[in-house]
Amino acid sequence: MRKLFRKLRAALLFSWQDALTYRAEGFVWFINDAVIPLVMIAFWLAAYRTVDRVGEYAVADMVHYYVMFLALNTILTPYPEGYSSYLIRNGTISLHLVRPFPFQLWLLAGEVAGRGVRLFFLIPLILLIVLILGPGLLDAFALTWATAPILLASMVLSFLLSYCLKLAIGLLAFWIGRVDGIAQVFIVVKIFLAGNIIPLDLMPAAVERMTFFLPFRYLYFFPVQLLQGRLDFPSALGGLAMQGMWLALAFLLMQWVFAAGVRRYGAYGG
Amino acid sequence: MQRYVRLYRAFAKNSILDSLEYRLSFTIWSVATVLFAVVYVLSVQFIFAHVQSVAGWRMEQMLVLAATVMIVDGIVESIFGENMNALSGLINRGELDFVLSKPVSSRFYVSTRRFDWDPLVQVVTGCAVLWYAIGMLAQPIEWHSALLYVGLILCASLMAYSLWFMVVSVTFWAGRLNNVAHLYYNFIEIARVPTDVFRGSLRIGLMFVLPVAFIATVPSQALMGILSPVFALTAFAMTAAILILSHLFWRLALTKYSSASS
Repeated sequence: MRKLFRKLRAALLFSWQDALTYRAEGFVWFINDAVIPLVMIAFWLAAYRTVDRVGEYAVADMVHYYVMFLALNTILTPYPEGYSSYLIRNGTISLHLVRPFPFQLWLLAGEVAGRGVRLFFLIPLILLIVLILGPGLLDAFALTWATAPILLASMVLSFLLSYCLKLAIGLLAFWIGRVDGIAQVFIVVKIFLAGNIIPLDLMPAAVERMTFFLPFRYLYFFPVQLLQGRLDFPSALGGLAMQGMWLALAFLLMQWVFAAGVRRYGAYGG
Repeated sequence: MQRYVRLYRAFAKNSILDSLEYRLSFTIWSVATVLFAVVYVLSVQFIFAHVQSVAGWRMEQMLVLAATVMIVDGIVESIFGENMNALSGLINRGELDFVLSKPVSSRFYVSTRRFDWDPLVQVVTGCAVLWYAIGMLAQPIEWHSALLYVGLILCASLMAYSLWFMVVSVTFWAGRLNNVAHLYYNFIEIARVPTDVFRGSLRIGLMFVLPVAFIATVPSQALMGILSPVFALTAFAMTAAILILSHLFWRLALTKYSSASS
């Protein structure tokens, strides 16, 4: 176990340096994850010129929602599907399969480091937004001592849940080569059902009810609700439990796809 | 000129044969594209269940805008998308040598070599959304508005392509920046909301510095007959200006090219 941790630390350090070296590329990817919330802030600010409240959201709550969504979306969204499918397509995954360190963990280290570097872009961006829109924006924060640990836990679970689901998609490359179409279907569904465009509680009641039983709600919307103090303690714990259940399912799925894929892959190279 | 038409026909034919080999990929992309249009229309409807209008735009007008972005983006991505995504790689690896030594315009070759059939699905779904939105509009569409719309869509496509081309050309100076082409998709995301939601200098900037306004907002207004003729003329002038500018930029960038061997 200790040996594994030492290897994990080395992988993290390596990936961190790699991410720092290619920070210009990292910045382009960061902008990619930040642009929709930024556009939506401008859109809603215009909408609030004619109304005072939208559902339970006053204008400050709405802006706060997208700023927090932006923060979580940029640091908690891994992209393992692109690199894993690339390695499978060109066969270099063989190098990783023979290493005494699980491929899934090595890739995870890279994603953690890659998102960590984004803090260098994220913090100045948030300061800039607060500077432009005024500190009144921060009033919408309503995190309590009771919910803070739940928030931290939910952020970790959210990252791992995204990671497992998206890696499972990337590993489909063992069968079909190009996975970008399937990844795109996933992203479209996720953007809609995770609350990227509109807060889920502003959707029609029937649609919102459906989101409770899908994994997407727990990726960003649930943590943002914790940040805005919209959940009492029992429903916060309930959300965390759902997140944990989805993570367990996604992990099993990913491991199963990996095992089946490697079996198939071995059959080719001989 | 005739030579270029013949050449382009060969490129397109070559690309069809290539994409016929990836029929599964085409099917999955089509599903993703249609799904995206559905999600998009639903999102607009969900938002407008809470508000009457945003910056003067009602729901059916927002849907016209949504359809316009899909059509423009579909055209640009099918003709230029794959080429723009490949261009910075050509520059970095020194493979531009093979292009520069050919007896054709280098800009023509790097911009049009591959035609991508997948995004054409987006043009079709965009037209379907447009049809649906027009049915809800209070005013019927005048034929001259429709004609102007087609003209402005062409302008928008040329502008978006020229900007994309210039952004990718920055690779000549920046070196390894393989994903620079992705900035285009962010540009399109900004075009999805009417430029009227922005205020002050940001709005002026989105018209004349980074001309997002001309991608969808201006064509949509033209179709609905609420565009002042000045803006239509401005759109044509801006398109010409950006085409020339991007051409000059490419010529300048080529002088920075260090080739594979040096």
